[in-house]
Amino acid sequence: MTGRHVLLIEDEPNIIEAIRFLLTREGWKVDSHTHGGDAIEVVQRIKPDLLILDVMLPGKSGMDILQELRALPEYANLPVLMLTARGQMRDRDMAERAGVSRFMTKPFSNIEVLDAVRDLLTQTSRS
Amino acid sequence: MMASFNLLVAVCLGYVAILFAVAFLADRIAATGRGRWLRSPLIYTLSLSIYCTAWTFYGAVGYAVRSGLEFVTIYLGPTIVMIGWWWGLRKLVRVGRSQRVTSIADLLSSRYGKSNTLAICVTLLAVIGITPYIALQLQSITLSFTTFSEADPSRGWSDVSSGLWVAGGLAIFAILFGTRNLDANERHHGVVTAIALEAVVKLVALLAVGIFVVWGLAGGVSETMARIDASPIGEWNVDPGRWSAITFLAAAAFVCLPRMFQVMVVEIDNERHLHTAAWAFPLYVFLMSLFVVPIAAIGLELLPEGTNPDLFVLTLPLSQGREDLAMLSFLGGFSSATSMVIVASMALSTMLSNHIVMPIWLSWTGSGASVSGDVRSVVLLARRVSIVVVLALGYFYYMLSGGGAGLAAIGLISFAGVAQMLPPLVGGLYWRGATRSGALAGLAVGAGLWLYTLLLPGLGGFLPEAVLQQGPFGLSWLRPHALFGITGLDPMTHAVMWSMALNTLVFVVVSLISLPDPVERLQGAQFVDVFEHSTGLRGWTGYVAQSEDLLVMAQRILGASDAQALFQREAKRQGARGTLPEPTPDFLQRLERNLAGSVGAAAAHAMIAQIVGGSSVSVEDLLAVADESAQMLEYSSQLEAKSAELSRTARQLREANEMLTRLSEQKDAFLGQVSHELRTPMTSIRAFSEILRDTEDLTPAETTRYAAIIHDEALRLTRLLDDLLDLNVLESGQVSLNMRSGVLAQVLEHALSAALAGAARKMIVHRRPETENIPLHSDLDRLAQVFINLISNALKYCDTEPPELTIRVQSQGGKVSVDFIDNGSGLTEEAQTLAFEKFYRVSGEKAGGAGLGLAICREIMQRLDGDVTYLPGQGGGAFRVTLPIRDDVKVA
Amino acid sequence: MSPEATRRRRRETVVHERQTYRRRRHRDAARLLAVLGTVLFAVPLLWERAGAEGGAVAMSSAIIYLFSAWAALIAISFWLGVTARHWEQDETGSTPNQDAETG
Repeated sequence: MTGRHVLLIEDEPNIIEAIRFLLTREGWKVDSHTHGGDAIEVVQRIKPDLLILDVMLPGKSGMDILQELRALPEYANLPVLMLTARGQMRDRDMAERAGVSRFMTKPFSNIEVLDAVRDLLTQTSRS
Repeated sequence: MMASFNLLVAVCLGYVAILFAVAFLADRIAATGRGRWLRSPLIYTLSLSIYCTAWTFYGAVGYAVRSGLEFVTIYLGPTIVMIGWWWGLRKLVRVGRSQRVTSIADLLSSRYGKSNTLAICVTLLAVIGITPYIALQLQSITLSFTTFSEADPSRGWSDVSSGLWVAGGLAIFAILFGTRNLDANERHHGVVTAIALEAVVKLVALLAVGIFVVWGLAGGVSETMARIDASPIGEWNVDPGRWSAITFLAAAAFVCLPRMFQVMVVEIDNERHLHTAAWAFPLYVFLMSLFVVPIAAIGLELLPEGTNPDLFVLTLPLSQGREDLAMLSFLGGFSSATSMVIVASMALSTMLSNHIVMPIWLSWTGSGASVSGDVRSVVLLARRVSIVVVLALGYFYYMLSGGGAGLAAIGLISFAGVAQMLPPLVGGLYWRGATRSGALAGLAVGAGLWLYTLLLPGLGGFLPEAVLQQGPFGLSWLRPHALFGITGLDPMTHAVMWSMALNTLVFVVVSLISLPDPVERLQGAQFVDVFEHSTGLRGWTGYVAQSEDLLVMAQRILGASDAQALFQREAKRQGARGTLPEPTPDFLQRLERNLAGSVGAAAAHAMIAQIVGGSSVSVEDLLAVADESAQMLEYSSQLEAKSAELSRTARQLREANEMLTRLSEQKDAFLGQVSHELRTPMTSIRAFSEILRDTEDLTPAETTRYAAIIHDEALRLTRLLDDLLDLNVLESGQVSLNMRSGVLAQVLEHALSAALAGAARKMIVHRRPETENIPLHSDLDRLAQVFINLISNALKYCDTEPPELTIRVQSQGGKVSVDFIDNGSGLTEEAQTLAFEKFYRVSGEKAGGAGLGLAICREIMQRLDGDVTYLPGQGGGAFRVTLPIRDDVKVA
Repeated sequence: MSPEATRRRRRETVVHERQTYRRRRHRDAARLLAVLGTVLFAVPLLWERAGAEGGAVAMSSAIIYLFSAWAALIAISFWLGVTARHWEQDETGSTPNQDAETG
């Protein structure tokens, strides 16, 4: 499970730093990107094992990115952990319809995030 | 002439058919809204008579044969409760109605902060306590059948199969009339009317047998008295301990038994019924017990030795050849048993489905009623299954116990079990300081002692003989019948004394040392002071909900037409257009109570919380975050320095949230934004404070850096809150303008020096001082604030090096316009239309302001009778401020 | 205010006070009834039991005492219930408001 690759798309530098700190300590490789507009291309270039996606992003919203990714066959099963600071019921529903693997509301606890990432990575390494 | 067994079965079935018809008709009449008599105090009083079960109908005579007048304590307790209704029942009924409770478990859960854990404990205790009691009823019905079948040898008869038939039949009746509808009030007119009829039958039956015995067999009152004195029970021989203990137990059980709670509190239509029931119910039980001793004494005299005294009521008329009277008496016993089993299984099924099945189902289906299937049908199904389960448990208990004499003691044991709910109930109604932890601890101790000292020893075989004699592990002070070395007490008195005393003690002590949570405190006040505010104020202050989502959920639980009617009524009451009411706290509270009637208080609260609480920051959310932040501070010395700041932030957050609540009704989207803006810095604060707390090997540099991030984010929150508060003050019109006279040039001068001081970039400013000598009468500080904001924006966003700003002043027609034009690329067309919206920001820009600056500027200018607009086509970013000139002011 | 009106006002106040007073006494009586019941039903605790030296209380006497006490309590409770009709509207008749609206 170690050595796996996580891509974080999030526009808040401090949150990036926190998540990077947490995941790197667990032995995962973390790349980040702060803009939504070209997120799909970044995913295609980096080919991560797991994608962590913010909802409110400049350029293109996390919801749209997720929908477009799921439309591509090679990313139909990519584990996606979505983070939102809005915390509205509707967002969760939309994300679920769009095919999110896990949905989390900010502020989260670090343990929650680690558990979720570990879970999602375990699932893919098994399948 | 011997009544054939077939006739008996036919009479029985006919009687049940009549009950069905009565229940059915009553439901029909109630549904049409007619039939006031269905809600009369008489029906209410008669329905209370399910207190008198087969155990008391048949068993009272047996009890009298064994222990003389002690049996009467079973009725004396409830008599005291009833005539003393002013002390307790009045409050219980008021609370039950105003909170729309569905069962005693629901009441306790609701009182102690809508705790489902408590509801589950109470439910389990009730099921454990009542199951043997139901078995007892099954036994009495089969026994009475057997008595008749012995008299009619032509018919093969099996206790076992009859028990099964009886249990099945009762289940069908309870399901048909107890779970037909899922009414918000949980009232069942059909069942209540049927049991009222049964109450009449059993009273008439017992009186008929009694009159027959006294005047038909004994030859008058004085004769009877003489024969009683001459009988083996002719002397007073009641243990004082048992006399008081059982009177107390009966009083407690009268209130706590789930079936009594159902008819007494849930099914009541009008509190005024208590006036009537206060004398009518004692009269009923008075009449029920009047002839018990005569029947016992004459039975002992006339019937052959070894006749089961529990069946004297039946065998005495039979032995005298009075088949008709025996048949009536049989119907009386049958009525007692069936009415008790039906109501008890209904009450238990409500508790089981509301507090155990539904929470499990809701958590299985995940996100709750707003997305899942039809809750209504699930609730009904859960109730039906629960009824079957309860009766099946009773049946199996009956089979396992072999229906022996052990069952006879079960009535009192059962009473002692449910009486454990008394301390939390009374405490909850009269003592605000009672807490959930106290109630749970007291219940656990009381129920444990009850199991250990009464139920298990009473069952026989569950506790080894050695434990009974020497105590567990040879610890003699733990003997079930002599705890702490107190011997010589009757086991019942002993168990009641210890379980109730320790239950109460633990309840009080734990309540004193534990802290109630806010919901609990609120509910406590509502319960204890129910007469001061029956309409209540427990509520959903501080939430924004989607009425539509609520309607979708309510329809699934209450049924489409009821839910729509409710929403329409609410909308009308609010004077709203359309059919959807605003989700005001008032409305949410009423809706929650309505839902609570169907699924219980805790589940209803959780469901509404899921919809309502999910949509925005709530006070509780923020408090939780603040609490967590506070706890983190204790762990990390690096954070201690920030403590004051953080707690101030939390306080400001709370204030901001209260203010947001007022704005929220029109501003759903706005709140979503605020939530986002508040949660984002909170996320960083939380993540890094957890890192500081949980990571041991941080370098000093990292520690400092992370503490600095927390600090910066806290500042950002503060700024956001300042802006929000500012905006709120402006928008609500509460701002007091400090109107002064001055000159535009001075205001601009002041603004420029404030905005450019300490700036990271240098900016060239072009002015034409000769145009700026314009007199103003305005709030000059606010005006300067607007100018500072515009200048800072130019400084921040102008993308040309070096940045230049041109300030152009023109006066025209009583107005002056001040333009701020920079040499950058300006705003895109989209940005121009959105720039003055709250939380709008140039994309990519983050850690700076909250996107409220221009919104605030516009608010200020509108207050000052001017405006601020974007000025396109100036070759750069350009804003125009217009404001009125005061031309009567001469400038020196 | 005319002297006539003042007098009428005063008389109404007196009547009102008397009603309040009676109502309060009534409520006290209702409360005390439970205490009386408890005391009456506790009397048998003092009786000699079977096998006592002076001879036990006869069952017939016990029955007569208990049932008379019981009947007396019921009668008082009945009387209180009947007289309560006059003022129950104010004291207990106020069912919670929302019932009428949502029930």
